[in-house]
Amino acid sequence: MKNFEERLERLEELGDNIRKPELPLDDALKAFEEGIRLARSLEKDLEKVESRIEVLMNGPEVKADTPPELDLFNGGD
Amino acid sequence: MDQDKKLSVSELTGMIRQCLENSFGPVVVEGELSNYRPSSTGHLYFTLKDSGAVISAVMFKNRLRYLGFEPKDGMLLRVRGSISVYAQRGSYQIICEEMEEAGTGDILAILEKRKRALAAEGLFDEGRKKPIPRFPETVAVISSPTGAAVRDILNILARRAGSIRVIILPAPVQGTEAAPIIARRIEQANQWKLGDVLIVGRGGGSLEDLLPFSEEAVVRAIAGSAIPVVSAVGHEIDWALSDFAADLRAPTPSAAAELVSSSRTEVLEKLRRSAKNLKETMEGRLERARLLIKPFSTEDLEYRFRAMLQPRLLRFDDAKEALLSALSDKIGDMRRRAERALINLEAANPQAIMERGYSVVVREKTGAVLRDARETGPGDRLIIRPLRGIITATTEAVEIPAANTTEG
Repeated sequence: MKNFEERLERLEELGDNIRKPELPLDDALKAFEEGIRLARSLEKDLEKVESRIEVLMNGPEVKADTPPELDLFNGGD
Repeated sequence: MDQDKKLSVSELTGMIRQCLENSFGPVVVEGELSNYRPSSTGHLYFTLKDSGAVISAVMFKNRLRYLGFEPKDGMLLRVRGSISVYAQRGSYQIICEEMEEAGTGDILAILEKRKRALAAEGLFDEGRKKPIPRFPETVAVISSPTGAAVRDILNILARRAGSIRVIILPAPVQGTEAAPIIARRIEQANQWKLGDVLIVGRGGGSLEDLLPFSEEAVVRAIAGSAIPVVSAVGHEIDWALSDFAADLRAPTPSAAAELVSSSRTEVLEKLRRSAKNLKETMEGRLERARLLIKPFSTEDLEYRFRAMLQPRLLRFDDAKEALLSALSDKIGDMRRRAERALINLEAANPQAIMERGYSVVVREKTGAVLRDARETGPGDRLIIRPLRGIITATTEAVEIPAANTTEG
C-alpha cells in the first residue's frame, strides 16, 4: 500500500480526471469507485492517527526503557 | 654662635624623637602609680615614679582587656612598653603594652629560673614535639570537672565534631595539691591509653592560680607523655611552663578544642561543600535538561503533531469533496445532455403536431404519407388521420401552386 500522501495525491488526481469532459461516463464511474476506496482507506488512517494521539496523550507514563514511537512518522503501515 | 648649626624647634624635637624612640625599644619599668586618670575616650593616663624621677605613661584602650586588675594610685606597678615623644607638648612618655602589679615579680623570677633549668634539660626542644593527630577519635581532658574550661571544650567539640569521644580526667587546677594530681592524671592517661590527644589546662585566673601548670611535676609529665599534649592555660596572655613542654600551645581551652577538631571540621566542611556542590551541579544539569525538553511536553507535541496533521486533513477533505462534486457534475452534465436530446426528440414527435390540429393523409392504395399534392389525383382514395379517429376521403382536384415547390 502506498503511503498516505501518495494515496491522497491519487485521490486529487482522480477528482481532476473525472472533470475532464472527454472522459466517458463509464470511466468516470470507475475513477469515482477508485476514489471512494482511497478516501475510505485515508479516512481510516486518519482515525488511526487520531486515536493513537489520544492514547499517547492519555496513556500511562512512558517508561524510560520504552523505545520512542517513531513508526507514526515513517509513512509505512 | 655658629649660624650653620641653627635648628628649628621641630627639627630639634624630631632629632630627639629619633634618638629616644630608636635607641630604647621595648622597656620594662617598675614604679609607683600616681595621678591615675582614665579618660572619657577609654585610654588610661598616669605617671610612674620612684624617689628620684617621674615618667608619664599611657595605656591605650585596645590593651585594656589584658589588664587583670583595677589600678589604684600608690600601687607598685611593672609595665612593659616603648618610649614615645609627643612633639606638640615637648614631652616624652611610655606607651604601655602590659602592666602588672610588681609583687608578682618574685613569682615570675622563680618561674624564669625554673624555665631555664628545664629548657637546659631539653624538655622544651622543638625536636621533641609530636604532631597532633589530625583525626583523634578520643580526646582526654585533664582539668577541673566543674570548671569553665571543661564546659567550653565539651561545647566546642559537640558543635564541631560530635563523633569525637571526650574523656574527662578530673583534677584540681589550683592550690598546692593540684600539680601532683595533674601529673598523675597525665601518667594515667598514657598508662591506659585514654586518648589520642590530651588537653591539659584550665580557665583564666591570677598568676598564682595558674601556678600548678608551671610546676616541675606537671612539666615533666607533659614532656614525658607518649600521647601528644595540647596545653591550654588561662587566657591569651596567660602562660605557664606547661605551654613550653606541650606539643602544642593553645591560647585558651576553647582554642584547644578547636585545634584538636580543626582537621576533622575542615574535612567535614570540605565534604559538605563537595556534597553541596555535587547536588547543585546535578540540579543545574537537571534544570537545563528540563528546559531542553520543555518544548517536547506532551501538550506541546500534540499541538505540533496536530498542526502537522491539520493540512493533510484539509487536503483530504478537499480531495474527497472534489471527487464527489466531479462525479456529480459529470452526471449533471450527462443528465442535461440527455434532457436536451429528449426535448429535441419530443419536438419531433408527430403527435404533438397533430394536437395542434394537423392530420396525416395517407393514400389508401399504398399507405404512403402524402407530402405533395401531386402524389394523388382526382378519384384517388385517401385516409385522413387527425389526432383521434380516421376519415376516409376521395380526392376531387389537385392544385399545384406555381414556383413554390418544396422539392429539393
